[in-house]
Amino acid sequence: MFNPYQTKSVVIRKIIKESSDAKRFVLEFQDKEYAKQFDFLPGQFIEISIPGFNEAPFTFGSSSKNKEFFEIAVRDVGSLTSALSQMKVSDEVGMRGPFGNGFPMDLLKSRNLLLVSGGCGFVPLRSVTEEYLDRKDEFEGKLQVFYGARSYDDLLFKDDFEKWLGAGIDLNLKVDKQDKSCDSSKFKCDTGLVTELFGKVDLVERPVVFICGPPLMAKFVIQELDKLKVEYSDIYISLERRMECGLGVCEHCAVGPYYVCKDGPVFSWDKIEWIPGII
Amino acid sequence: MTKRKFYEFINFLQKDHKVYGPILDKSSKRLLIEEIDNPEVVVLDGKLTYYSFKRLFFPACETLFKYKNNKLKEPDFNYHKQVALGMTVFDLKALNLYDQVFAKDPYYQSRRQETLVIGYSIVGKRDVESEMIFQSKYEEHILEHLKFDIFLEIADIEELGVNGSEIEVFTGSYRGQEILNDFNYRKHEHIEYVGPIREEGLDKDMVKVWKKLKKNYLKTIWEELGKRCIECGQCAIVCPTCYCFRIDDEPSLSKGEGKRNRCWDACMYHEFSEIAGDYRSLSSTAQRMWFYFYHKFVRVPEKYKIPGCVKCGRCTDVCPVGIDFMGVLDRILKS
Ligand SMILES: Cc1cc2nc3c(=O)[nH]c(=O)nc-3n(C[C@H](O)[C@H](O)[C@H](O)COP(=O)(O)OP(=O)(O)OC[C@H]3O[C@@H](n4cnc5c(N)ncnc54)[C@H](O)[C@@H]3O)c2cc1C
Ligand code: SF4
Ligand code: SF4
Repeated sequence: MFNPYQTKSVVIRKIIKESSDAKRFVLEFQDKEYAKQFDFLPGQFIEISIPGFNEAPFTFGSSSKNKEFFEIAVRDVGSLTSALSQMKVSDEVGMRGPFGNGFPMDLLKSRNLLLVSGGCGFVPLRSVTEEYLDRKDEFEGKLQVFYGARSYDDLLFKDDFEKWLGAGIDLNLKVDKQDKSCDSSKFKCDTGLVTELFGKVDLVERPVVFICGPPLMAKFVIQELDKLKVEYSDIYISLERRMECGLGVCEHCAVGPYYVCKDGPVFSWDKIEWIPGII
Repeated sequence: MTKRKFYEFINFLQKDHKVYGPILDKSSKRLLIEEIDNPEVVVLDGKLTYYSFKRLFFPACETLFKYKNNKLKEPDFNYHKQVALGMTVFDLKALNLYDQVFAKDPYYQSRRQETLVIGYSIVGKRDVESEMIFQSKYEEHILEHLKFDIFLEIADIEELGVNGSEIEVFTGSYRGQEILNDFNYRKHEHIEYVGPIREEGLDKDMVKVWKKLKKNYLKTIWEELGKRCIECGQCAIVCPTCYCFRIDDEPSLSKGEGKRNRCWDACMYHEFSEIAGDYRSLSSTAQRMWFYFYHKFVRVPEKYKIPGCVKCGRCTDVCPVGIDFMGVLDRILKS
């Protein structure tokens, strides 16, 4: 019988420091046959296993069109994440997944997309952005990004910004405190909360919105979107919950009638807005 | 079957099974599920065991893998043959749920395959305490919706003389028939399992609770309970239908080696929903109370089409602060 808790081995091919406490890992399957049939959607996640340090869920940070490798970006906050951040190129870790539903990318065929994110929440939205670029001929819609972090250093994926701008993505950055690197950067970056971008920046027309970030940020973003009369069914949010199994059994990630690991992590806001403590 | 024959049957099973059943623990005066040595100490009087049978199918802690460096090694899944003797109708209903929840779980399934399930109910005169059991026995055609290998209808085992022959024997599986035939006992009637869902659908009260809870956070009820509950988690431990778990690695003294374990958890514990940054999505005891009920009365029926509570009342019996769970259901219905 298939053991859903067994992991597949992946090798770390590259490690890129993204901020003072976050690194990006380029991972490659050892089993090449398995790699060929492996597929995922932006917004889905995997469990990374380091025996002795448990498992923890991470979203994909790269485009699914890339078949040789996939990427995750990890902030060091505890036992597994710290063990991972000390690993070197060529080290191996275990992984199982993909799990969950992912973002409804196909909406981009006819609709504009606004991504709103804070801190580490940008990881799955980078996957969305990269996928958007890889599948650009399929998509009619424009892509606009609102991305905030504590400081310029805390913004992840700065190496990609230039490419994204070049591809016509409307990138808007915010950092919490006045920061020279932000002021002097060649990107649209200024001080303040990500929510302050609403009202200042012209929104793409009739957007679908994907949100991923701290609950408090999400709360205020939704308030702003509400003012702008964006339908709740056009707002998709990726939720973070504690997870043990990833299979919809352990109950840790349950929200109301749903399981974040199976029915989510991405939910349209109209489905979950009534659930107490949802964000 | 006579009482004597029944004891012989247990002895017969003991040859190649570990037989677990209800035994009275003298010091605590509780009915506990223990491995049976002398068949005559088994208590089948209609009273519920303090803990449920779930640990026989899904142990409180089990090793999913042993690991060495990066490799996770599965166990060989050669679990010992065991008998779960004396499961009540309540316990068998819970078994229906585990079978669905753990349908794709190789650990559960391997253990389940090695387990002979013997259910029972009491017929005839009973005292008030076991009235509930009496009632559930008479839920129409209940047996055809339960999975068991053997089911005993006992006309009060305490009052039976050793030669009294008032145990009626039913089989629910080929395995049950076979083992009785091997024991050379042929007076059994077969009951065909027709699935967990009854013709008339879910229990009507359950459906009412489900509808009430589905989209309403009944703030007053949860907050009042939240003030009383001390988060001991006992209700979840004794409950036959609580199956939450966590997975943790347990390093051994040799470097790079250890075990990955899966252990029961309880949603009443505050760290149940904790994620990085000290953030808890279930931020109060009231919310965790709600979560407990919501799981049983909304998520389970929606996902598995059977109730997530078998109404055994173990939670109420165990709660140190006297929360009456069935009373909560009444309040939900009246809200
Ligand atoms: C769907 C999903 C996608 C995620 N994607 C990313 C990502 O792309 N990048 C990233 O850096 N982080 C991501 N996270 C968060 C990441 O899973 C946690 O930071 C990680 O589990 C912490 O593990 P740890 O062993 O380092 O921490 P621990 O030492 O276990 O504990 C540190 C803190 O993390 C909490 N925690 C422990 N286990 C879990 C768990 N299973 N799920 C959530 N929190 C937990 C603990 O309660 C504690 O507060 C994601 C979480 C989810 C649910
Ligand atoms: S009555 Fe209590 S212990 Fe029994 S199944 Fe329902 S919640 Fe669990
Ligand atoms: S047994 Fe009672 S006090 Fe303990 S967690 Fe359950 S409801 Fe709370």
